[in-house]
Amino acid sequence: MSTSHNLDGVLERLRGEGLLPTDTLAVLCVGSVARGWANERSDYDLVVVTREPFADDRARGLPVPLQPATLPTVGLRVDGRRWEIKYWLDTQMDQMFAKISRERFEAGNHASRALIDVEELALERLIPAITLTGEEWVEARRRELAESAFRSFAVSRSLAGMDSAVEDALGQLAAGDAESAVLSARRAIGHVVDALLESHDCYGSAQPKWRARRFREAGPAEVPFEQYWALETMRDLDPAAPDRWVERTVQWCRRLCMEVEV
Amino acid sequence: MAGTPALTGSAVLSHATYIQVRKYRGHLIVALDDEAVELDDVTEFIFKRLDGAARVRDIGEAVAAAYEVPVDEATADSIEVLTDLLMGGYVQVADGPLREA
Repeated sequence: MSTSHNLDGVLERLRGEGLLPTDTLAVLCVGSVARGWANERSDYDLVVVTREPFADDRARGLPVPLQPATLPTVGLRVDGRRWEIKYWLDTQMDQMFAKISRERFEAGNHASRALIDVEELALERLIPAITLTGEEWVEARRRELAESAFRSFAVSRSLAGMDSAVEDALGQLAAGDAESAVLSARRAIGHVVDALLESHDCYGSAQPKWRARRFREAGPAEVPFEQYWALETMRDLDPAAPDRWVERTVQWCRRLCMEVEV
Repeated sequence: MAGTPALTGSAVLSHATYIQVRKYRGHLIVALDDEAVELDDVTEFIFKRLDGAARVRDIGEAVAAAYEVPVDEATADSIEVLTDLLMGGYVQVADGPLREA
């Protein structure tokens, strides 16, 4: 069940706390609250986009492979709930978009990861975000994201993860290590399902706890939810014959891989 | 050609163990190590039917039905396609007769 959240006072609270710079371009509520999946204990994840670097004694810096190389982040408790606010520079967004251009993908740079998790999260969260201010900025960035190779990079990354997990599973099976093979095959399921969902513009592979939610949301025609859920929960695993489950699972992953457009 | 594997209609093939498959712009690309091949429509149709259980003849029948060609011709074409894939290492023989030509 989702829990509705009142975001009316968020901007005023940020302003009152001195956490809303005057050069703010946009403020977004992202994460589980924005997607309607939050519960009473969920954090408020907020993104503030500014023109100039945000500086405040309360901010800790997350390292990012950008210029500047720091992402200021402030944690706050408001009425018993934790707020986490990330301060992105508009120019850092520009740099991230440059990493996921179609030209870069076509040039074969999809083999390596284009973005680290914190960058990928920032971009994918633009899609289901609730815009508190800066509608024009957000819409422009969403269009830019749709025109970029973000989806192709994400799908390629997940499929590479699947290939690696399948290779592990088959190697472990050949070595007689069926238990490890089961765990590797299970990992392969996660990666290929993530790839499928990403091919439908439904992102969030860094947070597997929401995979079932994402699957329901995307509703991919390629696989019914019940089939996915039976695999995710390893329903058909016979403890007496784990190798059969591994073989079936690997085959299923490979078949699904053929249906996922990069 | 000496050393070329010749498949029969009774052969059963599966995808090779360590290939990578991607669907890109509507076509399948199959890679093994540093080599990759883009499959045309018929090859893709055949490749997708490899499950370690279907015989080449069964696949030929499916090709015949889908492309409205005689079964014998479709089976011969399937054998040709699969031989190429076998030579490239993208598929492997799971069961059934395979003889050296």
